Amino acid sequence: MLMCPKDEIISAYLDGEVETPWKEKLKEHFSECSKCAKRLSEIQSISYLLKQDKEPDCQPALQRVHRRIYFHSSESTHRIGGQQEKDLPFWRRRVHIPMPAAVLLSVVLFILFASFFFFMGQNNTQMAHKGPELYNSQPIQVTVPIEGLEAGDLEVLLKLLNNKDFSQEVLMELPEDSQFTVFGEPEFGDPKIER
Amino acid sequence: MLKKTKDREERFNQEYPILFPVIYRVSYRITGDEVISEDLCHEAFIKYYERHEPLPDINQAKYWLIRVVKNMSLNYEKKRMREKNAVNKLEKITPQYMESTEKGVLKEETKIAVQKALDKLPYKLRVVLVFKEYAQLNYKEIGAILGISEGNVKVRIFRARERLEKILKEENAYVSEG
Repeated sequence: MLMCPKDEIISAYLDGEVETPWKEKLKEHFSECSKCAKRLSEIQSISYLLKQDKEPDCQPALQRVHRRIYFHSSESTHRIGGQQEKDLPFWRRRVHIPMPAAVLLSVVLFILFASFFFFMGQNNTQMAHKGPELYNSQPIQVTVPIEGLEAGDLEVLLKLLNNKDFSQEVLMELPEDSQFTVFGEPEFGDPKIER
Repeated sequence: MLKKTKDREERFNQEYPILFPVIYRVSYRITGDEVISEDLCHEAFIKYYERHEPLPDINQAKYWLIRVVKNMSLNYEKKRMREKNAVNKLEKITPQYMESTEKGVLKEETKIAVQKALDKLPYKLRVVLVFKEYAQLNYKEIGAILGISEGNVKVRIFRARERLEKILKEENAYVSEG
């Protein structure tokens, strides 16, 4: 006759995890040893208790989760097998940006925009300040024929320009039939003529 | 490609009603909380749904899902343990108040005494026993899921039963007293 088995063996026996020669021997032992038979039923009763315990109805959860899975799959580009994302052309793929990087990017963009408009505004005020003088002044036409260009005329022109802070537009036209040849000293380079 | 996706979707729809009750039962027995179990199942099935490689058969799918649920339930277990410790500390500070409320809760919930006892089991022992009793897995399958030897499974299941027996006896004594 077999020696009384340990509880651990009884537990394994109940789970059908004892190999064939031992299984039969144990069965025989339980029929002969009342102490072990009692222990067997005690351990067995725990399993019964566990299995008889009332279970929550899983059907509502089953349906809710099923709906959520379908909602999830239709919402995102994730589909069954998760393969769609992989097969998309690269411009349609989603890019994951870590949160800190995204925040940094938006801050940098904001600063760039803000500074752009700030400097634009400054330029505008500068232009608005200078504007009236520059554009409201009537162009003064001084036609100086090239033959008659004398020191006095040039001085008048330079004086006029000086009065206007050199902001007067000057258009110098040459006569159409002018022919260019080297002739004498350049008058503009003459220190006498400079005021 | 499209046909393949459709096939998998069909297979998912076939397997889902069979697998969900098992996975739900396992997560409920491990966590003892219906809401948490539903969340765990939701996450696990989404992971399964989005898996690149299909699993060869429904049994493999079951093992895979059970493993996923088990891994996720560990996070929940850690959180629960922290809360429990906090409650225990509080209990030490205000013993009378806590005792009276706990008594009230216990009386109200005697019908789920078994689940309460299960909750009291250490996580490691609870998981193996749940796999055995509620997922009908054998020692070899449990060992494969947990990455432990069959011998280790045998020991853990026995210890779990031993502990549970003790807890239930204490609880019965308490309930009959009150």
